[in-house]
Amino acid sequence: MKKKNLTLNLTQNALMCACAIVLSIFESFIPDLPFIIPGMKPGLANIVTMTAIEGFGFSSALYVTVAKSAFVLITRGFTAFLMSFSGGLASMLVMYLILKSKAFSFGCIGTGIAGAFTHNIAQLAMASLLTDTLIFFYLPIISLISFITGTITGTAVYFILPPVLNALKKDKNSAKYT
Amino acid sequence: MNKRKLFAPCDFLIIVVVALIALCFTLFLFFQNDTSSSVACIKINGEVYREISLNQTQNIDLENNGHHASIHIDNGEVYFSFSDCPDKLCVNQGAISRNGESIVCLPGRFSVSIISSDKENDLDAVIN
Repeated sequence: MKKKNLTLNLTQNALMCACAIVLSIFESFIPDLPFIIPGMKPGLANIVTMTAIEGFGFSSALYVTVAKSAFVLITRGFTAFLMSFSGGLASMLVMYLILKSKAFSFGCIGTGIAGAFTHNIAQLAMASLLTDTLIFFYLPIISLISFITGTITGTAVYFILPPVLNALKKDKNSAKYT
Repeated sequence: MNKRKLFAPCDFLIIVVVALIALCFTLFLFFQNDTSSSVACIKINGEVYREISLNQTQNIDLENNGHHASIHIDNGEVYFSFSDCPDKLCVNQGAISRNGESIVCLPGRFSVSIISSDKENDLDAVIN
């Protein structure tokens, strides 16, 4: 492997983290819809996680997950941090395995659905751990919602990824001269 | 690098797996709903605080770590009637009445769940 350009890496990771944090702030402005479980959010930050995995690799995606959860820790406290981190980490790992799978070639929507579903399951599991109560009653409706939100994030990634990869190629070329 | 497809045939695999997991849980919940002998199990910090039969009308005030909340039990239904937590998710969730359902207030670490007091249907063991 070539010598890495640290400045370039740092900037890219910082950009990704910033995007994820902005998306999760934006998400918190969306009001709770009456027919959906309170606290359910579309998980827009998964868009950034998927882009980070595809464009910048595992470590960058890990940075994004940690940075987003750290932001939650500062603004919303430790319990919210645990919820955010468990969901973020689990969905990041699952999406990484899916995107890097050699045996099957999955599309964006499938990856998005898997990511959204894992995110919700991990959060439910963490909430169950925190309160020592099994709260899997909402799993059926949560998986239905995962199909919708996963399709949204997957479609977004489909359109965001090509320009990001193009820009990345240009970055790598110009980085030779720095 | 190959451009990733918007929807690949393999995605059906993911959809089927997610749907199967959801279906299993739905069936599992559907077949265990006899609330005649159920109790509302109230926990604070994960420890059982009180277990109350669903048949009686009662109002229970909870206090933990500076957080306050009250739970109302009435006619087989349980709900958070008040909470001073910032997001009010527990109050907004409304009433629960089925076995296995629960409401959780994370800021105060309160939870109430409807569990079957019928021990024969219970799990053999729970490993923590």
